[in-house]
Amino acid sequence: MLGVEGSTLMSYMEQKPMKVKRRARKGILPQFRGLAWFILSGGRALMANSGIEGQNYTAILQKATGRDKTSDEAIMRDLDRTFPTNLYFMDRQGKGQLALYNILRAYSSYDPKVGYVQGMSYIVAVLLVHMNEEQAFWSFSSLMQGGQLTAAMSPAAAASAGQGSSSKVPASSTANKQQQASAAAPEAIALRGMFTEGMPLLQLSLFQWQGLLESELPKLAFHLKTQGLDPSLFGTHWFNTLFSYTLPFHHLVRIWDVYMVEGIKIVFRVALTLMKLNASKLLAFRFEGLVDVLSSKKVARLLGSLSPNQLLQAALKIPVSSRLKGKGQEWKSFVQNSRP
Amino acid sequence: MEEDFDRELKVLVVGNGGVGKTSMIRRFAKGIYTDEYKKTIGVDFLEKALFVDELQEEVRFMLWDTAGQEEFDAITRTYYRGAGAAVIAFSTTDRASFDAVAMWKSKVEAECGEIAVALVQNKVDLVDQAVVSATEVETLARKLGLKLYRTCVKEGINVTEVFVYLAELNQRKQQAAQPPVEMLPSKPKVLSAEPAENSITVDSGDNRAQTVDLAPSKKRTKGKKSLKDRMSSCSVA
Repeated sequence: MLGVEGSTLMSYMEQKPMKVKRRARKGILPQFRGLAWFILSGGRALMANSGIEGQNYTAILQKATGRDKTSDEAIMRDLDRTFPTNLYFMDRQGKGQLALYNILRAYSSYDPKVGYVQGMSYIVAVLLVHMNEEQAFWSFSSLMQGGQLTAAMSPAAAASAGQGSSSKVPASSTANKQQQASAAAPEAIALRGMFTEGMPLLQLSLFQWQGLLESELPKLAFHLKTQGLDPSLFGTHWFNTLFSYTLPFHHLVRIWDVYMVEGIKIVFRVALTLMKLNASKLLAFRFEGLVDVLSSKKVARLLGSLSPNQLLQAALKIPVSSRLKGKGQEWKSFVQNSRP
Repeated sequence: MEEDFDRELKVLVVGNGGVGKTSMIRRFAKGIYTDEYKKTIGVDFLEKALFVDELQEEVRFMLWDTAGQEEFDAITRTYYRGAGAAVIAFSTTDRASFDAVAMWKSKVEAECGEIAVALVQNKVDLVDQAVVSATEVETLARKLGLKLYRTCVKEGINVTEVFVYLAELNQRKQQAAQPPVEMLPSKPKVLSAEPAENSITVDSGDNRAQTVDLAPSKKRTKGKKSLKDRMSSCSVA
């Protein structure tokens, strides 16, 4: 359904969004994944729009050179520490690390209010495995702005996305146009909020997570709470790297297939699945054991023998939308009320 | 039911990104080192039980690893609470990490009061790439009133020593604070058992920096004998 240069996918997204959703859930074929992500993330549209305005990747990258030393150093320090065991990113000054470096540098100059924050490099790295440097840059930038074309799924979401979402995106007018063009992008799905000051989207996600866990697995939620295990301890990188920090690639790409179309919901679903799968085991552990089992190094073990297919099937069975929405509203009024 | 008289000490390890905090904790807790660590996103935790000769007691170190990037403060700060000790780490080869030491100290003090703190200069094996001189490091340590440890986590040099020192210092601070007849807020001089004359006062703008947290490092003793009781029977070598 990709068509020449993805033309079919483009028209499907407009005309048969449910079909795109179903296909993404079933998994995008590996050979098409790069192009599909590039399109679904909104990266291609953003690149085209920016091109019209005379903003291209090479120019952004050039402008970034030598601009912000602190951010540059932070990026460099992390190159070695992003997928340190992955062949493509293993070598210092290797192709992978260089591309990663370029994109992160370019992005921090493209969106100076965010700059570079840890966690980003993992997301960019996963994109880089699937597409070239320029495409990965635009895909990342688009995801940061919430550029997925999710709104095509529901007209209501599209309508609400049109309002208020443009003020906080990078100051370039292309970005705003992209927001309207893709019609998606309610602020809540703009990945950017995971990294802006105070990490509002991360805080929201962790709050929503706690609520979901309490309603889905009350016993486990209670146990974690009494053991003093706050979700920020183990869940931070689930959300701000979209599982790329921890899950094996075969599982990860399937999660991302869905993420590209449906947004962050899938992260909650997968996380809940992992908890359900391990609930009885987790209930037997005290604080130290829990931290160990849930630690980033061991998340992959929580999968047990679950194949990517089985993981997705189980995850997609858990309804989360309305609960996420409810918790989101609760958080919103909580934040508003706690403002001085 | 096994009786366990473990003494628990919550230790924060802070400092800029990439100075070797995770490696240091792994080295101390597990005795291993690889250069393939991922950066720490948010917080991480490990524990290590060690018999500390100087205290004649086994101490359970609860080691809290924190992301070095400032943006993560929103997440990491909550984990400062209840810490009994902290390591402030910087790297021989990273000037910015050295320049940030005072800032890290005030962050720790703002959240935890005057707990036991040690300054750690890591990667001392990379002298040829050093961007800080020995003298300026010593000067800073004196100015901040912190004991300085030079470590090479890679080779495991001086790592355990840091934590043993923190356990001792923590105990000394608690003993000094043992008969606090009247409670705060006035800043009791005795509490800063470390060279206090030279230490700069870090003012967080309110009184928090002066609040001394006398609580045991963790509150999860679950009906065990209270830490204070147990410690009054120990002596400092």
